Amino acid sequence: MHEVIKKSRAYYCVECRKCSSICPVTRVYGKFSPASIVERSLVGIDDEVLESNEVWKCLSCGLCHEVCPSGVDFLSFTREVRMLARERGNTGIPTHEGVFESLEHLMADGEVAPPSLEHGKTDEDADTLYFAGCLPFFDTMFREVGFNGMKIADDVVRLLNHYGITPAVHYGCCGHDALWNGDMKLFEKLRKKNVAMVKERGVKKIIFSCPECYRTFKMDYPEMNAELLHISEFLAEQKMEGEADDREYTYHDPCRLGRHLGIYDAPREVLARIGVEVREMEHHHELAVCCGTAAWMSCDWKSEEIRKERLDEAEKTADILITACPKCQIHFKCTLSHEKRDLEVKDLVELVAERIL
Amino acid sequence: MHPMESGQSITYKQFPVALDERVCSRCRICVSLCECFTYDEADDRIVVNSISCKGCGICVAACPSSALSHIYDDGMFYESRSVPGEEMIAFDCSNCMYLWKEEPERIVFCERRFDMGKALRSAGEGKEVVVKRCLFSDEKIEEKSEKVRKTQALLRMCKLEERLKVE
Repeated sequence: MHEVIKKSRAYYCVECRKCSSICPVTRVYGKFSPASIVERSLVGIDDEVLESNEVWKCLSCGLCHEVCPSGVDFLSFTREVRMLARERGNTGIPTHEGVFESLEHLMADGEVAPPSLEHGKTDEDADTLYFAGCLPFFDTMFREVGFNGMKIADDVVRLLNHYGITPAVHYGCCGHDALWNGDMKLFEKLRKKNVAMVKERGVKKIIFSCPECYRTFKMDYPEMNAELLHISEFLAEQKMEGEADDREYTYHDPCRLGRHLGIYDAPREVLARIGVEVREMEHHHELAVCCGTAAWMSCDWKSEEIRKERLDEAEKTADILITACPKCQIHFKCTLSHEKRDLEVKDLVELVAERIL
Repeated sequence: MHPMESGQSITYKQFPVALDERVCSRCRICVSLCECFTYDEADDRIVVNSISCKGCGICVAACPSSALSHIYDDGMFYESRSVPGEEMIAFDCSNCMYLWKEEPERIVFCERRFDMGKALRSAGEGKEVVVKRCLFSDEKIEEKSEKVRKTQALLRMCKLEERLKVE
């Protein structure tokens, strides 16, 4: 624990509780408080923290980090505390019966044979790789809430084709969820596998449609030396134009793309170019509120409450909510599937593909 | 043969109910449903007698504020919900308490309480995943279990399709 506190600068905590005042989980569930977790760890009652379910409630959205005056890195603190908790057999409550945790293990040990794309042209020897992550699995799991993961993959490849690139496509787990859920053994296995895959393919550029894969490759794979781009960054560099329509759009900043990597402008730039005027919600850019669940951990009424608040904001602002993260889309669509609202949720690439192809 | 018919010993698990007092609205619907609940007037709170709880899940499905949930002893968390216009669903099934039976070579699930995560994990460990029909119902598996179908599709993508058997 001492090491964790040192690494995450938790010693510098001044107990101002700004983190707890902005934390979306604390807002709906007062018993959870990032400040209290840090304080208890600092005074040495870390047993209580490590054995409770509290450590699994953090969304790792990074809002607390934005407001902390002493720069305590609560994200790395949470990550490391979860590793320690896991050592004690406290493994949290995974969502969807632990399907995704099992799939991570399956992907670490075996190969993925996804269904082929409908329209996009691919070339296995290309020097540009599109890392599609877990999209085919999400597609199978969440068709019932209206999530079409393979269409996102197809749209990305079609857009790349449109700009003269025939990419290779790889499906598989980046290890993001294993890392954030403190399962270092599994993460290392996936990391080694992906690094070897990139080396073997000899690709120079990797494009991502999932901000989580992007974040993991960029920040947690130190040996990665290929050029890494999120699809929104790629599109922001291309020429495109589209016509405005009379519907109103708003953009939801995914936490991994926004606060973790600082990419706020590229998706907005792309939207502006295709003729979409983005109306900002009450909370946007650095202060955007999370979609309610991260790393397939702890989804319950608290997540639902956070999600509803976010959808309320979106509904007040616009007709269509654009996001650049497949997971955010799944979470919002899940709530929309059992709650009637005057709102549509779409992925950025879906909209761009619709407008310019 | 269904594991329940075979006379082998099966581990049954209890699902004690957990109450989140922060969201409880004290509507006392649970009190009217089950004797495990009493309303404490002096403290204005619902008291749960978890020893007499059989884990049927009806209270969880009925609670309008989602204050009730189920936790079983390996820390997994179950939430059941009622679907408007349909019959109440408590943990997918209220016919029996059978969860699964784990053997060195295979794991046997009942279709009604099929656990996708556990099934995929077992398939990854090289076990054969067997899904048996409900003993108490005449409905066919194909019509009932969306979860089994999804697991089949997920395993197909991992090239492990042959590890799942529906009997």
